[in-house]
Amino acid sequence: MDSNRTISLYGFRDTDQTVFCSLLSLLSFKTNAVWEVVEDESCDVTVVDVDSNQGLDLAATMESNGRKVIRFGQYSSMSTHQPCLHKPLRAADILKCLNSLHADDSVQSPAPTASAAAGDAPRQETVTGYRLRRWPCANILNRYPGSSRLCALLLKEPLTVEQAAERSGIAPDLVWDFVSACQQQNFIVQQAVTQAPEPVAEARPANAGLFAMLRSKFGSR
Amino acid sequence: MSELKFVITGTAGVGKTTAICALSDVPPVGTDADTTDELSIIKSTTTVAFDFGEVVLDDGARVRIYGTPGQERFRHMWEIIAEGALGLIILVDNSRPDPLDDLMIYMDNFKQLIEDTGVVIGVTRCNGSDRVSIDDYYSFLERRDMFCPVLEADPRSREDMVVLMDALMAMLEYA
Repeated sequence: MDSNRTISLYGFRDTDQTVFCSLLSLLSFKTNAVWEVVEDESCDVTVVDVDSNQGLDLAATMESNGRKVIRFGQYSSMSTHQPCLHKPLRAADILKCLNSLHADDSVQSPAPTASAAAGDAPRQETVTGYRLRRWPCANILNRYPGSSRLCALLLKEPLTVEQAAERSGIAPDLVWDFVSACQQQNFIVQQAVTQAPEPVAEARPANAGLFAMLRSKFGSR
Repeated sequence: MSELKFVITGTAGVGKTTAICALSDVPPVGTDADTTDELSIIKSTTTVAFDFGEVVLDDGARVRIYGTPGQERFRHMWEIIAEGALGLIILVDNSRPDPLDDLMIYMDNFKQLIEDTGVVIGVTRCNGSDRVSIDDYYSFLERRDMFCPVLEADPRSREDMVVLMDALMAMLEYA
């Protein structure tokens, strides 16, 4: 990641706003810039729900004023040559859209954001965590080696992707894929969690070696 | 050295002995007797004390998998078998009249083992038209502040039983 950017949302329903913010947080290690959702009109990018009242007009006005706009709406209300997100929101679309915007202006030095200008502004403590509602089905479990570890951790308490990766020893991008797969099946819920420093790794349970041998014997991953 | 063992419990006829067969390296040792009650409609013999199978590990260690008798009149055996176990699998027959009630009987009776170790629930005889879905099990447990894996499982399938064992070990290690 090489810069900080701000993004504001216009005309969003509460549920869409929650989903967008959560996905943005989840994608934080995948985007080319650090994105922060603000209510400031001087943000770098505005996402406008063009299905909302005056959404289409506002998007057009902003663009004519030189502002960067991402249109968010139903397929039928969108033009393919403009940056857009379709309903329902998908992480992959957000990632693609933001990285494409970043690539467009990467030659320019980004304008400092309010928080960047403030220098040592404290990072937000509450972030989006994920908790499993249920143990996923076999087709998800079989796709991700070691997924039972993730399942146990995420069934117990909500964790961020980074926390789950740290505790399970599984790479963050694999954890992210696992969480996305579970989200698609509605096996996972989002909950706010407080980001605290990871505790020092505890000694593994006394039976860890036994369980490893049993897994090897059973051929489970 | 104490015995290394897991316990499989559940209602009579749910498939505990079959599940042990699916996992065991040796033919299960059983204490079957002819059924004399209403169970005789679905099976000719039933476990009256316990049965167990063994999994032999690479270092020669043996892990036993015990099955409890299903009928509640043998519940005095449950406590004996549970002593020192590493974890519990409860099998629930989803085709019975009230599988959630059945589940609670075993959750209550093995409460101490569950608190000390962990539990997974395997739901057998599932089909698309079930009155009780897997989500219903999770809701039922959540209302009692319980969180554990609930999976559909066919006791005849080694793969299904391995998934249950894997889930149980993951819960014991990481939850």
